[in-house]
Amino acid sequence: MRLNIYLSLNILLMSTCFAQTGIKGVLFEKGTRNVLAETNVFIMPHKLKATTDSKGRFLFPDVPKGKFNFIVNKSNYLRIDIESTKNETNYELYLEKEFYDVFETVVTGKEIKKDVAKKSLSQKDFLKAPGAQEDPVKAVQNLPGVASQTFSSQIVIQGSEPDDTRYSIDGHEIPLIFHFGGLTSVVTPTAVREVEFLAAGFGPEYGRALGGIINLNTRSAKTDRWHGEGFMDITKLGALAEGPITEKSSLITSARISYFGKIVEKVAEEMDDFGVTAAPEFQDYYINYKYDISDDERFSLVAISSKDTLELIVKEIDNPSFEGNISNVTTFNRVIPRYYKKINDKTKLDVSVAVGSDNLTFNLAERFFELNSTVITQRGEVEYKYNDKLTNYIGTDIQLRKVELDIFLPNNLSGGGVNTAGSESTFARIEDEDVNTAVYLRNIFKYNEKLSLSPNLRVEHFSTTEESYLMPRLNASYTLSDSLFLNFATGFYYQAPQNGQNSKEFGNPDIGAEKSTHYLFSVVKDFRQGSNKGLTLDVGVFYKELEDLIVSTDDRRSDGTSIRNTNDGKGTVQGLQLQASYKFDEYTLLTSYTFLKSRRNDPENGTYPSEFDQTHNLNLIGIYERSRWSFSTRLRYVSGGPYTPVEGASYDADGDVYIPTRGDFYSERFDDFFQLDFRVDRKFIYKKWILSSYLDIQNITNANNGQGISYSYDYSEKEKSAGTPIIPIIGLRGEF
Amino acid sequence: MNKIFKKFSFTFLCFALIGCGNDNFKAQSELGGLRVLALSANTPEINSAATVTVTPLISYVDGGGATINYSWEACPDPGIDFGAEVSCDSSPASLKQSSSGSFNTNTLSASLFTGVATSISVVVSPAIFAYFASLDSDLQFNGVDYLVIVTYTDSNNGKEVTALKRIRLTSKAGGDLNTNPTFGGMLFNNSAILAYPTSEGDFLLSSTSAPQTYSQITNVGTKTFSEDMFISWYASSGEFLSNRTDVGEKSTFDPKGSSGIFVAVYRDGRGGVSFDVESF
Repeated sequence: MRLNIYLSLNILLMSTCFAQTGIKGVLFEKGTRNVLAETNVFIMPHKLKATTDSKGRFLFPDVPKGKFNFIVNKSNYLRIDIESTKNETNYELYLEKEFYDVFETVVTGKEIKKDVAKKSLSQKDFLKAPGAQEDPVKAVQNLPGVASQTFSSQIVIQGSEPDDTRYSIDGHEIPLIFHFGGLTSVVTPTAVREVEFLAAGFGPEYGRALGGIINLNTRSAKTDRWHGEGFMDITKLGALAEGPITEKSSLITSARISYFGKIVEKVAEEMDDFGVTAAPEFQDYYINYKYDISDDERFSLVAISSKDTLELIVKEIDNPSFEGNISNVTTFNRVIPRYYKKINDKTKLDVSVAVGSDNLTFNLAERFFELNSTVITQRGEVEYKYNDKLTNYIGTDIQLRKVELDIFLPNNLSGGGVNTAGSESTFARIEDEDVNTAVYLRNIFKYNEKLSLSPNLRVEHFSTTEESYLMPRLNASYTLSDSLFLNFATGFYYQAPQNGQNSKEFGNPDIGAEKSTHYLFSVVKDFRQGSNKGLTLDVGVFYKELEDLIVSTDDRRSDGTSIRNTNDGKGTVQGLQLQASYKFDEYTLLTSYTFLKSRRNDPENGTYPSEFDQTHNLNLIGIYERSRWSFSTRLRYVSGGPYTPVEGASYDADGDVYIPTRGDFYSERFDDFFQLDFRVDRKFIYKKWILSSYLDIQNITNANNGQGISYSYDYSEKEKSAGTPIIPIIGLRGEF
Repeated sequence: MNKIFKKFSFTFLCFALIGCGNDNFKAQSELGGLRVLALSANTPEINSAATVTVTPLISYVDGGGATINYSWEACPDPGIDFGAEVSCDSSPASLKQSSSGSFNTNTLSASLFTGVATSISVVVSPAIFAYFASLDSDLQFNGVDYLVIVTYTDSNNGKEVTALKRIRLTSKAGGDLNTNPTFGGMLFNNSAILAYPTSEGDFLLSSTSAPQTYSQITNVGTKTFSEDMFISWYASSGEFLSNRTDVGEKSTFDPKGSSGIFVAVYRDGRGGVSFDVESF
């Protein structure tokens, strides 16, 4: 009996010591909760190993009872060594990445590009670009060929005029890319997949622009689970949510609203000498719904809305023509359904339509400007891969705009960039309908392993001028070696008169489209020899011939009516641009440099520099990344821009305004622009969410970079405008 | 319309962020140097040949009784609103006229070398009206400007100022012609101003005439508009916080010292003007 008891106790004890149990769990990436598949998980000291499946699951069927440690050692992740919890059989393990975002510059030339004139920045590129405050379009200003500007809502490309740049979302034109003079672009940055910058020599898909294109390609939702993020900085806050709806459909939506105006309003209340009381506010919304009909067929619907509101009470400012209460509301909306189908291995179809409206209301005391327009744009493209050597793309790019405009404002002339307020308001109502219809053909012909030719054609009809144009364009790439590429692009570009330039009421109905001919030659050298460290270099020269430019005139017809505009302007732009990236260890150095000479000519003023003739434009960017920290700095040097001096003024005794007497157009220059920015990013990785923060200090040396002149009421006194002072910007983003 | 979107956007951010004002400049309402404050035509709009008298209101507080030389020329508007120079150089001689003279600022009608100066007689001849009749009929109805450009020069230091005035030629009937607005006088804190203010208060015009309505041919037919009246304020000492106000709107004045002059100029925005000068 005693023996039986002893044996029983022994068996019980042994079964406790040597009993085995099943252990299972899921391996996640820390912060993002992405599951980690095909990863080995070890249990020590038992030397057990399991490999995670596609859903990150692992299973150890027989683990001896007692304490043990999980060990996971995966490339690019921090090693974990975690002690088991008593009696727990189901675990969630979190593996922390070494780097969550690695700032990379655009690598060009590794493969034959569809468009050699295009550069693009991915989301991770622009979110960490110094000086850009996570904005995709501001980040474009770090690229060569883009003029440096402060407080500007426009992107000036390679010495062209601001109105020579078109902005689009998913290829469909929008009227504005920025809220309030460049504060931030009109879409939540994290909803943007990439920003495309097309300059001299761009392809046939785009037109109606002499200078270039800024296009934001939005992204569809992640489908693994629902994600969300909230963000804020000193001017705005917003949120984004995305995830699957069904197995085949997903949704991403975001909204932003500014509180910047409230701050300005409070500041203005505290300051007696503040010229205006202002409340600028903006809001924007974005939705992207995607439905995968099959593996080869999908439908998506993008909706975007933007609204800027401003009301001012002007106490006293120098320009009397601006006195009074001012209000302005600017909105635009687009709904963009899109259908994509891979018809077969050779043929793909991509069709989209954007329907929306643009509205602008401006009131200045009794004067007003009310614009309401309905806009429909259509894009369609069929890609046909004839064989390995030849791929054809044929597409349409149609724009219909129906405009209703009521205006009661004085004529406002800004010849040479010097504003003259007209004396008396005139009224006009315009109801107009424009249709611009373009068909394009792109052919990518790989002649051999080294040479690729892309002879392209765009044909476009402008209903406003009743003109049709043939626009042949050519892209060519030659591979000299695995790391050395030559690119060439040329083409004709036409731009219809804009903004009433050819209306009977405000312009000249007899004028036609403006024309530009582009030439680009570039060399791309990749010294990295297959690694991701080392030097890449992209050097190019460009030349643009500008013809039939629309210029204003004070000439009149024999019946006394004003001609207002002619096609008598012309010009040239020539430049050199360089982009280099050097990466080693945790350091990245980026350089972009543009040398530019941009000239205009018209019969009344002869030849003169264009307003955006920035001779030298240099950006030097340095980035250091380590663990959760990232430090970056940007040095910008830009030659002072030209301006037209005012040599005197005459008093308009009827309007109580002074009419400036202009000197030679753009014959003087502002001081050079020098700015140093600094940015630090810090990520805080929690198990189920990530907090990202940044401090972006612009103009850290507080340099006075004013690129403008303020004049007294009668132009007898002048003073250099104050530039942007040192501005620290703090931003936070939480995401799960 | 993208250009319009962008320009408005930029302008408003400029206002919002930096105010666009500059306290280092002399205020527009502050009198001191040689200035033309108003040019008043007895008939700002005419529909037949006539001699129009233009009365200048001049101020030269700092001039100390300087002799001023003046010269004027008149011609059809060369297109100033469209960028033409303020000059009659491009006009045919048959449509031009000019003259010159001088006066001493001691002789100006008010004190502190401020007041009405020698008037200008502009003869809008039948030849000018014949030219006018050759123009587009809508232009004739809406009005074509005959420009008077006056330059005043300090004979001591050569400092000069140029001002322009439009005499509007129209085919409208006599009863529809524009006339100068009128007002009773300046009020300070709702009472007639009898002395230089000793403390901050509000200026206002009394008994202002109502805005006229007028017709214009637009691209959607003939429309009727109402004049947009406004007042410009000036002082030789002290400061108007708003140098320009609408009718019925007060302009706050912060006095400095114990004497000075005040000027109010009342305009209808299309050439009609009247003014008042008060000295203390």
